[in-house]
Order: sequence, then structure tokens, then C-alpha cells
Amino acid sequence: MVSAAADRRWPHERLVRAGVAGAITVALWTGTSLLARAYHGMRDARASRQASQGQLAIDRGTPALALRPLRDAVALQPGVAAHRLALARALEAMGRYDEAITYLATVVAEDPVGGEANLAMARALRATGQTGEAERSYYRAVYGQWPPGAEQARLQTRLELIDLLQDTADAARVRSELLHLSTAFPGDRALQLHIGQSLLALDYTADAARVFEDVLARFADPGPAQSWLAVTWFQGGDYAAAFAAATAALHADREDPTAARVRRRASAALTLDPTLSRLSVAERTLRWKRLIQRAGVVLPGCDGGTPRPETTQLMKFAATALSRRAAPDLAMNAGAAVARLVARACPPPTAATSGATTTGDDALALVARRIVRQEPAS
Amino acid sequence: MSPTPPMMAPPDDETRRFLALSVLIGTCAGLLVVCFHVAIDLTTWWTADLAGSPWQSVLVPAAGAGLAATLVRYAAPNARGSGIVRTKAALYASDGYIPASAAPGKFVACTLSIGTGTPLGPEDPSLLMGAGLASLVGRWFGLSRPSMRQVAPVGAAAGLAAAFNTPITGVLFVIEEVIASWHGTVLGSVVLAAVSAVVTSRIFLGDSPLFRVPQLTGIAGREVVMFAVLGLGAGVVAALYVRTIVATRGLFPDRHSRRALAGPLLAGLVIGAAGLWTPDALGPGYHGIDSALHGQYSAATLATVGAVKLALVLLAFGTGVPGGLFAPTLAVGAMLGGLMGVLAPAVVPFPVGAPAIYVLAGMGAFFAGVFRAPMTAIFMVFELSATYVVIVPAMIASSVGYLVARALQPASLLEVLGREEGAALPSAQDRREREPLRVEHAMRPAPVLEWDTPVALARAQADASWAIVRTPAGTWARVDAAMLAGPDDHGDTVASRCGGERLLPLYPDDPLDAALRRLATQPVVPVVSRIDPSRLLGAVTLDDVHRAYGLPAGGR
Repeated sequence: MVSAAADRRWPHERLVRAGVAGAITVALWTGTSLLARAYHGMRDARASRQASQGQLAIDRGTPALALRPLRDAVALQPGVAAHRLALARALEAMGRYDEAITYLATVVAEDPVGGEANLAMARALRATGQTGEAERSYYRAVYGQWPPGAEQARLQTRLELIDLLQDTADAARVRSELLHLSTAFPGDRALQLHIGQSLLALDYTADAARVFEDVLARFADPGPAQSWLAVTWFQGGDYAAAFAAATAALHADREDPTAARVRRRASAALTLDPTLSRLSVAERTLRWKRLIQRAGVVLPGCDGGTPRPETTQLMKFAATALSRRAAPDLAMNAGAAVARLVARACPPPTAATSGATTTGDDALALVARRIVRQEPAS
Repeated sequence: MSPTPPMMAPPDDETRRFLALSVLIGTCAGLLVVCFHVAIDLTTWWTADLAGSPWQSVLVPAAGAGLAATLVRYAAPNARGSGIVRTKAALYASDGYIPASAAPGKFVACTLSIGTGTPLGPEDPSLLMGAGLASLVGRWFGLSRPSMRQVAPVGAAAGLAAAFNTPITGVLFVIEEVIASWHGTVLGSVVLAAVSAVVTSRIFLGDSPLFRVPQLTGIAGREVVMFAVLGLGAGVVAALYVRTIVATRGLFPDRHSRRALAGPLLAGLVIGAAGLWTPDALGPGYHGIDSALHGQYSAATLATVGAVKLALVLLAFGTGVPGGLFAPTLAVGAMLGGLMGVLAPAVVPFPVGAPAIYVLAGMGAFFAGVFRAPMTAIFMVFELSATYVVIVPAMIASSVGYLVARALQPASLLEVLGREEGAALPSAQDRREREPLRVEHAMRPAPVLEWDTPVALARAQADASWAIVRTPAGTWARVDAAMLAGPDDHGDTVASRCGGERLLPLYPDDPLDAALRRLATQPVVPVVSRIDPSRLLGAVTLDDVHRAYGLPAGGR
């Protein structure tokens, strides 16, 4: 039982005690605040030091030495994506792609449009064979955010994406990406030449020709663009344009071996080609007959020395077109049939820059291919 | 004689004061834990910079463990022992008293040991610091005896919540393991303190979780079996873990002698040497858990880190190096779960979820097995991972882990530690599961008479020595054979024979203790239905209560 005097005294004592407790709490709060501020400063400084140490190790080509300091940096500042990214790059450099992916997943989840993280993720995914995911990451990197002045990195990302698409044998999408890239970086001559060559490798000759023509029109020093244009026309079967382009390339550089070779092969094809415009009827018929005669020489060799029955049969029919009294239409039809056979049995070398000689065989094969290409698909 | 029920409610005025003090306790505990966290980190950085050569790496943990043990032995003996056991002792035995020197002693000793690499955790020390602080505040404000009993668990919840940065876990653990009761006032105070502590902690340390969890997807239906198997494995290891801790501590029975200082020193040397081989096994283990969650460990690494961690924890805790078992228990569980998550795809014929789910489920299962707190384990995993996906796996694994560990090792770790420290504290597990006797266990059928029943008819109906009478007002009365026995000349009814005494009824689910109290003032207690209070279900007499408690009629 508390006495009346104690009752009167108690509230006052309670107030004093509450005041003392409040003062101690405020003092503790202030002290903790100062301590925490110093702690965070030290923590950040330590994290930066560890990250720098790790980055230095990566730059020196010793990523194994970067792991420990970068892991420490990540532990000290888990919210700083740059540390995780650096750690992931170190792991990538060591070939530990699966581990890198787990770190990168966190970074990408926090910043889905980060260009650097997505590029690193794409590389790691590609290395682990996840091409579909890698392609998506490349796209996110291409259209993502990059720090200022990172144009080269963005370009590199596009080139790696194209490389990935080439691996997956998706020619139409590669073409699309190459044309996008060509439009995005019109002032980069080396890149434009690379794009043209890539298009040419995929047999998109019209696109490649457009790119090379743009280079010729845009740059005072177009480099080997003229020569590549000749190759492009040649590969597309337009031997007249290829001859003209190769001649122009040789004007600029008489020692250009590619242009010289293209010009030689185009010239040989042009002298045999019966489909050229502005030929007289007599000249055209003569060329058809000459083509049939040369095919008669070449075809048995293409069939492995022993002509197949259909070859023999066709050549017997074609021989009737060689007589003087044969009508021009007969020579043309027989010549076209022989050209189809030659194109199938004796295809020309694939690349215009190959070391094929301008023998009659090569010219015949080139002309036969051109004739077949000009025919409507049946 | 049974002890006073510790959860007896304090007066209303004090209840309000107690709730206000809970906020103060929570805030101060949060500040203390922030300082503790900072001190450990600063010590860790300092010693990491100090340990340049392998020899130094071995000597630093030994020096830390030795210094911490010396400090506890000579300067702060009150800081010895488990924080949970001390809090339970305060609740059940010492009226909320925890010496004022316990918190600072624990602070310095654990900073030295954990900061130098001892693989023990800061959570149990934080819990004790919170409880010690709360006890001090309670004494300072002159709280009553019932309130003082409750104040230590309130501080403990605040300390634990701030250490884990998880308020629900702090509240649940204290409710489930320390108090083992859901008393309203205490629950409110515990919640207030835990929230205050976590808010304070987050103001100074930020709201980053202890580790980051990768994005997780749901599990397939048949994968449930895998989590049951994980729980089984975790339960077995948990039982062995507790037994080995008991055995290891038995190797150093005299921790009061100087010779006992050799144990921590030896443990420190072994820890330092093991750290050269597996550095991820040192410290509380959150870094290792983070690595396991992000798939940065192969199966061999998970097994190595888990085994080394387990061995070092047993050695350090067994030899009495200051520190807690929460974090290492989680770390070992994470390695166990991670190992299963990595191996499962090669073993089972169906696709399995991400290893991170197994890591989290393993943490929960092992924690539930060691601390016998399955609810806390489940919610802790959920709160730490902040994803619903893990709830079902954690529930399955934790439940199985708890049941298996309990079957193999009946006494929980905390019971064992309590006994070792000389306190016969009640087991929270037993308290939770102890079913009190209720009125329905003693109730028997009773004849019921209406108010207007003629006496002659009543004599025929009331075959026992007494009967319960339903009055028109809906109350209950009693009439015995002697009352009905008199002459019946005027067609008397039961109403004319009943006395004025009215019987207060009880419901079948009321505790039998309530019936016993009521029997002090009335000879029989009617038992009525909760749905229809005018319906008599039976009655309870003193003899019935005796029978229910296994005593012969008459109570002798």
C-alpha cells in the first residue's frame, strides 16, 4: 500500500526519471548518429578501394586476383550495381559464366535498360549456349542506356549481335541488323565497308552494292569500296557493271589484284554472253552456237568423264541448232537448255575474288549462271 | 505449489505505461544494436587489414576468441550464457531482473570474437542486450512485478528484430520460444518494441536485407516431395547438431577455471587455420548464404563450407567463445538446402526449381529443427526473402525438420543450455503443447427440471440426489432429493421447493480451473451450450473435478 505522501511524491519522481531516460535516449541517438555517419563514410571508402583494386586486377589481365576485393566491395555496398558488374566481368574473364549470370541477373533486374550490364549478360549467355536469351540481352543493350561517349561500345554490341545472328543462320535478320547499323553510323567508313562485305557474304548483292555506292559518294577517300563494288556486281551477275567498276578501281589503283581479276573474268563472260542487249541477230545467234559448242567440250568433264544419258540426248538435240540453216530461235532455245545444264553440272567458283582463271570453262559457267538467273522461275 | 502465472495482466494504468515504455525500449535497443553492428564491422575491417600473412590470419581469430573469453571470465561474468536462456530466466525465475553489466559485457566480448572471425552470430547477443536494457528501464521506472516479468521478452524481441532487420521474426520468436503465450498486452508491447527497434535500425543502417534473394519462380506440385526430404535431412542433422553441442560443451565442463581459457584460444587457432582454406566459413555466415542463394557455390563448395562451418561452430560454441547460434544455424541450413538444390536435377526425373528456393527452405528447416520454432522459421524465411514463392517449400521443410528433430532429440537446444546453466526453465515446446483440462473433461449428464414441474412428477424424473432447475428467467437453480421429499398436498411445483440460490453456468470449453473457482461458492456448476444457453449439457461437481484430475472422489 502506497502512502498518501508517496502518492504525491511519485508523479514528480516519475517525471524526473522520464526526463533522465529521455535525455539518455537523445544522447544515445546523437552518438549513434555520429558513429553511423562515420561508419558509412568508412564503408563507402573501403568499398571504393576494394573495387578499384579489383578493376586494376582485371585491367592487368589477372581476373582471379580481382574476385576477393570485388566480392568484398559487393558485400560492403550491395546496392551499387557497378561493383556487381565488375565482379561479373571478372568471372566472365575467368570463364565462370554461370556465376557471372547470377550477379548480372541482379544488376539487370534493378536496371533493365542498362547497356553495359545487358552486354555483359548477353556475352555470358552466349558463352553458355543460351542464344535466344543472349539475343534478347543484346537487343536490350543496343537500345539501352549507356554512359556518355560509349558509342564504340554500342557499336560493338551491334556487331556482336550480328555475329550471333550469323551463327544462328538467320540471314534475313542479319540483313535487317546490318542495314540498321549502316543507317545508324553513316560516317564510319570502315564500318560501312564491313557491312557491305557482310551483306555480300550473305548474297544480298543489291544491298551491298548500295552500301558501297554510298561510301563512294560520301567519302573523298573511299578505300577499297570501288573494288568491292566490282566484286558485288560480278557476284550479282551484272558483268557489264562489274567490268566498269573494276576498270574504275584499276584507274585508282593499277595494282589492285581483286579489280584486275574481276575485270578479266567479267570481260571473258561479256564476250561469250548471248543475252546482252544491242547485239545483232546474227551476232546473238553466233554466240548461242558458240556457247553450245563450248558446252559440248566442257560437259563431259563436269560429268566425271562419262556423260550422263540426258546430257548426251540434249547435246544431240543442240547439235541440230549448229547447222547453218537452223533458225535463230532454235539456236536460242537449244543454247538456253544447254546453259541450264551447264549451270547445274559445272557451277562457277562462288567468290568473284577466287583464283579462277579466265578460261573458257569459267566464262561459260558464268554466262550459264547469268542466263539461268534471268529466266523467270517456273 | 505452482508458480504464479507469469502472464498475469498488470493494472490498466500500468498497461498504458508499459506500452509507452515498449517504444522507448525498442528505440534504445535499436540504437544499441546499430552500435553493435558498427563495432563488429569496424573490428572485422581492422583485423582484415591487419592479417597480411597466413600466420597473422591464424593468430587474429585466436586472439579475438581468447580476449573475449577472458573478458567474460574476469571482467563481465554476467555476460556469460545464452541470451534466450537469460531472458527466459528473467521471465520465469528472477522477476525480470537481468544484471546491468550483462549488456555491455556481451557487447564488447562478442565484438571481439565475431569481429575477428569466430563463426558465431550477433543475434543472440543482441537479444540479450535488448532484454538487459529492458530490464534496466523497467527497474528505473519502477514497474510492478508482473510487468517486470514481461519487460525482458519485450526487449529481447526488439534486440532480435533489429539484429535481423525483420520485425515479424523478432516478435514471433519471442512469442513462440520465450513466452509461449499470446497474451494481448504482451503481444502489443512486443510488436511495438520490435517495430521501434527495426525502424531505428533502418534509419541508421538502411533497409537493405541481410542478403539479396534472386528472382524466384514457383515450384511444381511433385517437387513438394523434395522439400519433405530436405526437411527430413535437416531434422536429422539438427538433432545431431544439438547432441554434438551438448557433447562438446561437456568436454569443457569447468568453464570457471583458468584452464577453460585454453578452449577458446584453441578454437580461435583452429578457426584461423580453417579460414585459410575456406574463408567463407568464417564470420556469421551471411556472405556464404548470399553466395549460395546466387548459385556461386558448386556442390563440393557447398558441402565443404557447410561441413567446416558446422565443425567450427560446434568447436567455438562448445568451448565457450561468446556469440550466438542464429546466423551459423541459418548458414549451415543454407548449405544443406543448397546442396540438395544443386544435386536434385541430376537425381530426380522431373524438373526442379531454382537452388535458391532449396537454400531458403533449408535455412528454415534447420532453424526449426535446432530451435524448435517452426512458425518463426517459416516467417523468417518469408521475411528475409520477401517472396511468397518460398512460403510453401519453407512450410513443408520446416514442419518436417521440426518433427524429425524432435523425434530424434526430444530436448531442444535451449532446454539443454538452460539446464547447463542451472535453471529449470519450462520448455516452450511443452507449454505450447500442454492441453489444459476443460469443463467438458469433468462434465457429466445432469437431470433438468422445469420451474413449473409438479413435485410428484419431479420426484419421478429426478433419479439422482439432486437436479438442475431451469427458471422462467433463463437462470439455473438446484433442487435436491430432500427438498422434494416433503408432503405434496396442494399440487406444489418445483418452484415452491427451490431456494433463492441461483447457479452461474459455464461452457464446455471453459478451463476446469474456472469450474473449481465457481465451486467455491456453489455446490454444482451447470454446463450450458454456447449456441443455446437455455440448453443444459450437463453439470460439474467437486467430485467430478477430482475425478478429472485423477484424484479419488473427495480429493484425497
